[in-house]
Amino acid sequence: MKRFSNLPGMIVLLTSFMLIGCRQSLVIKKVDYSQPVETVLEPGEEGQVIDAENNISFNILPLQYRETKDTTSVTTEKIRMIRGREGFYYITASGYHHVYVMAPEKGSLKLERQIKINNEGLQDPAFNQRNPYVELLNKSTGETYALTKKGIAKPKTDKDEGGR
Amino acid sequence: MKTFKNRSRITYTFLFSLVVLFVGTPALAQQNSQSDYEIVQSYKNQYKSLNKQVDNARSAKQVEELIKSIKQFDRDFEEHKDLLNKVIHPENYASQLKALQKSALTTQERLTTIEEQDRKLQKLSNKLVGYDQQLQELSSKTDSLQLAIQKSIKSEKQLSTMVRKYRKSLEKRDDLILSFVDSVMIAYQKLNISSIQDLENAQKKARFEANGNALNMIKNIAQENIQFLASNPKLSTEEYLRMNAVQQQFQDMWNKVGDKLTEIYVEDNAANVKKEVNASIKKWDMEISSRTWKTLNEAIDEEGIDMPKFTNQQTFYNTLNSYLENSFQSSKDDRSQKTYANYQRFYSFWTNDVQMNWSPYIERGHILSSKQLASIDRKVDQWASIAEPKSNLLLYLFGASVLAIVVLGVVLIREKAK
Repeated sequence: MKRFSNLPGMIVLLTSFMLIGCRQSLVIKKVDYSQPVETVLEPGEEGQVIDAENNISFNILPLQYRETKDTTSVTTEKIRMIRGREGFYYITASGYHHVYVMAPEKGSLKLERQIKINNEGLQDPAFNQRNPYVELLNKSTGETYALTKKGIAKPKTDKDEGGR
Repeated sequence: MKTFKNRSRITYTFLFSLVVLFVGTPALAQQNSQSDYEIVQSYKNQYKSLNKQVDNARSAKQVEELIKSIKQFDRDFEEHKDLLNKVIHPENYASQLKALQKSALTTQERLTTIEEQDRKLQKLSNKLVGYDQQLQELSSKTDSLQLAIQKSIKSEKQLSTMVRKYRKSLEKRDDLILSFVDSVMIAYQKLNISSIQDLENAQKKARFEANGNALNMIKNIAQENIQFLASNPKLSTEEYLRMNAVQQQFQDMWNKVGDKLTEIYVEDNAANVKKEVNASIKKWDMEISSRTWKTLNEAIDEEGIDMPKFTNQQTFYNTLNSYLENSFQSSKDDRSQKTYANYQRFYSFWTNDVQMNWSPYIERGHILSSKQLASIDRKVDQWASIAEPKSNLLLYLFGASVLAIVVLGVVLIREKAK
């Protein structure tokens, strides 16, 4: 009789395992989030930017603070943003030294990586979708950078040209 | 010498390369540094602008230039079509470009039609100005001639010359009105009103306020004719019939193109203007009709034809018919000199006046139709077949023969008795 004293517990444990097995989440792989063309957004008085086409809105001030240590007023004229293949948002603006790689999370954007481009700041930046990279173009100098969520991947080569 | 030439060639090549380097590099850099966003924005802006330019184009030539621009636009963006296809969905580069080209071609076609109509109208307007001037000249000449005839105390010969001139002038005036009627009919019946409205919208011209306003001319012609008839001119039956024919053709023209003319020439109150012109033309019709019937009745009286009076087309035709039927019956009943004289009078009137001189005006003036004229002709021929009085020649010959036989018999009997 003692041999079966733990039976109820064993049944509960077995049922739990079975239920866990049934609730296994569905995962679709190889999703391409890439946005074909960057979005250029002008912040409002409070620093709010709204991308109606891609259904996303957020406040630019945390990024601006990170870049300039200043949030007394909105100094960022226009932000440039593009979503890469893996779903990360690449954000920068004129005068910024960095490109911010942001991961979308529940109700927030979390900084994945802050990529330093140069010390002078980008005068006229723009993003191009060049899968598997996101290309950063500094239009004032004509310099280009192939970016991934990990940073500057490599200097641009002729081979990258065809990757649009 | 050869070395010098080679050296200068090298220098030129070097300088040329420098120029190419300095001129070409910024353009190249500019082209390379264009972002996808800029390409898309540039495409969208240019596409929108070209569409707007096509919509607002004022001339076919302008659209021709735009078609060239569209071709250049295609050359500029064709290489980016993969990028653009991702952005301009659900449409795509090819469909947008095709729509733009189609829109340009349709506009070009529409504007070409409008310009063609415009040229026709312009030509017609110039022609109308010419008619107007000529008509005014002729009207004033006719008026002064009429006045001179009325006041004339000159010799009979001079007076007859003036009357001849006056009649010639009236004839010319009527011919001119008929030419105007023809021109208006040819030009306006074929005109496409929607094109005219497009033309007005496109060119915003108040062209129709100019002298070549056909509607004004129509109003003027109707008014002038009413005034002319009110002056009670002494005219022949043929002249009245001719003027009646002119009025009828003028009225036919108005019935056919009146709506278009008012639409073209009147901006506001088109219905009122049309009513006004209708009233003038109707009054002209009444004036000339009453005079035409009066003069026709008089002409028949003058011929000594005993026919009841008639006042319109129907009563005229009915009167002629019943006159001919009655006369035919009378001649049939009594083939006398009297009935034959009636026939001869009518035949002379019908052949010499109606058929030889008046029939074109009678038909065009809707006095009698060609069918009615033919029907009357047949009745006249029918009457002719029995109109001549019966001949007594055979009776006389028979009498003479009997008399000759009697005489011969008497002579023979006498001879026998001897």
